[in-house]
Amino acid sequence: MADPADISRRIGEFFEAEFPRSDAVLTDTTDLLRDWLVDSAGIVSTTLFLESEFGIQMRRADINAVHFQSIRSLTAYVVGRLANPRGK
Amino acid sequence: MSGLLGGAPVTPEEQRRNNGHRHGWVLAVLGVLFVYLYCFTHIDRRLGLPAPQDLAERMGIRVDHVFDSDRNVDSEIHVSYNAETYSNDDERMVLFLGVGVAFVLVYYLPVAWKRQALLAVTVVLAVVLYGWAGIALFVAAHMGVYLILHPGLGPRPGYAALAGFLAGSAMVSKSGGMLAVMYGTLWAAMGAAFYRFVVLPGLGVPRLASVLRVVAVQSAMIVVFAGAILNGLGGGEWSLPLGVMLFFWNWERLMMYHIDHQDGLVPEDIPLDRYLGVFLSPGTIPNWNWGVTIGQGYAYVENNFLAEDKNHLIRKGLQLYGVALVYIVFGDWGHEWLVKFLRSQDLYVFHRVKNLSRYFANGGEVSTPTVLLTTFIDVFRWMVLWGGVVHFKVGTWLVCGYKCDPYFNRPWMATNLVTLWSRFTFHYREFLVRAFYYPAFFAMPKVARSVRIVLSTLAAATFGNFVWGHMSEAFFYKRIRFESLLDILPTWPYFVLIGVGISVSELWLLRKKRLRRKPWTLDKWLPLDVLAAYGTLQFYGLIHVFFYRHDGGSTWNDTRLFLIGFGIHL
Repeated sequence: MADPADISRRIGEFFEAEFPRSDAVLTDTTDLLRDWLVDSAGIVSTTLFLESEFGIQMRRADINAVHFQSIRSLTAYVVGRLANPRGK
Repeated sequence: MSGLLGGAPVTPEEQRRNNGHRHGWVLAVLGVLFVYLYCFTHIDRRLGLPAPQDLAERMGIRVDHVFDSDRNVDSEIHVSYNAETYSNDDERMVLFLGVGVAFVLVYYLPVAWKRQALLAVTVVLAVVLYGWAGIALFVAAHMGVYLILHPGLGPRPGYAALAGFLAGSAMVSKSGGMLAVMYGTLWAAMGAAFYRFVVLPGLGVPRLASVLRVVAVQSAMIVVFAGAILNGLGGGEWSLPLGVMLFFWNWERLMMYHIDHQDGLVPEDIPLDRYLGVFLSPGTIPNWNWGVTIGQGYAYVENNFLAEDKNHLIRKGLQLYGVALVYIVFGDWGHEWLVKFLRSQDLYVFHRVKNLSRYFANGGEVSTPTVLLTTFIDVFRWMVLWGGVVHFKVGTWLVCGYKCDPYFNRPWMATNLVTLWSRFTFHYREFLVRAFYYPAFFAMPKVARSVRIVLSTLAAATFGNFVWGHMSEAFFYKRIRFESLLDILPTWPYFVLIGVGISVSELWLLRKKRLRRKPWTLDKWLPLDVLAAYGTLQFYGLIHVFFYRHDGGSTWNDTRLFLIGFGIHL
């Protein structure tokens, strides 16, 4: 069973390492699209990270503002995908 | 980049919270629109005011390339495809007044009525500017798409009848009112019957339904390619009625809407007015064929309406209106000044890349500085001209309550091609990413990530950009002829080079350790930012020798010109 707290921590570490910011603090609820990611290359690199780190397979429809809103929403997405790899 | 991925849905409560009135902002918007009216229309004559050029001269200001022959300011904002009824200045006057009316209504009406009001004003504005028949055909075409993407009974057979009436009456509108009504009535009956007994049963068959949906969404591409190929096979030349032409210019946004539909983001029971509101907003009217992806698809329009305090949105819109004014008024002047300045320094530059290509194709010799400077300042010319118009369009979306990302965001600050793509054409880039990059990216999950990225980028920046972005435009601009296809095909190296350049930038961005330092921070690394920005813009400018090529030239000649930019003379 995936531990949401662990998933959240690993996603947070990824953002801190890949998109470091000295002028803002990253929390579980930081608006990633507005305040953290800078471009679509950031979305692609996050997608690659989620696929390799958690062994999930993402689909085009999963790339949306609801999932990428915050670390919390990305964690919920990963937890859901791990529980139901083929589901919608 | 608030609109990355289209933004998150906004609740009705948030919209109500973001709807507080501050009358000062209303006056500010109307004031700025009056400045536009004064600069770019003949309103000075109607109000007994001095013409802008006369006013400037009274103030001792004499500049070239700002005013036109009727002594107001030359403008790139215009109403496309309509030179029959009005002069450009009259059209602009209608446009600015219409934007003003739409703004006041959307500002003061209750939230539930705002978007219906925007749709109604846009339809009226379009009828005044394009004529009843043009807009009737445009709306009928969209109703056809709506009925296919969102099939059902209820009012829909009635909508099919209405679409039939609009299309039928529009086609004979020049023959008089009675004939138009009779023809429209006949088409209405046929439309309703065709929908009820042919289309609806067809949409009940899943495979046929998906074919019908693709045909509806890709109708522009299907028609122009079929027309060009038939023309090449010896057939006649197809010409499109105005309303169909206006509808076809929505092809990229239709694809975005279809992607949202496939992703389950569009409610199946979406009302017709909400559907039409995606495509008909005051910001779509100016330069109909410029920045056509502004507004994107359903999710972007839906999720960004009153997604922020409307007065903040107005402030952003006014900033864009202000910057647009500077670009439009001084763009030509700045370009001419640069050309003259460089020539005075014994650096020969051409006004346009096209002139350089023609000179070189005809046997002229050019130096590396000439190639680099000409391609660089032609990018500057186009950026300022383009930026002015798309800023006005996005500014109009913003003052009308949409949290719309700028299409154009100081592209000269881009320090790599990925950022340039985003800063220069944000909404178009989003179209290519969603329509081509993501499908390619997720179709090959098992391959190495660098291969996955390169192939996805080539699918978007090269293939999508070439075929869906520019090839179709060539038919709309140069008519549906086989020659139009032959004209655009030799520009392929431009699209390959931009795709390769963006791929390399993406791989570099993914592999390098991201720094806490942001570009353009005032520190010892600033010169590197300047160098990277110059290199990015110069590369982008230089590859235009393959795009603005001499009609009689060859790819080898274009390649030689390109290499001269690197100091290689072959």
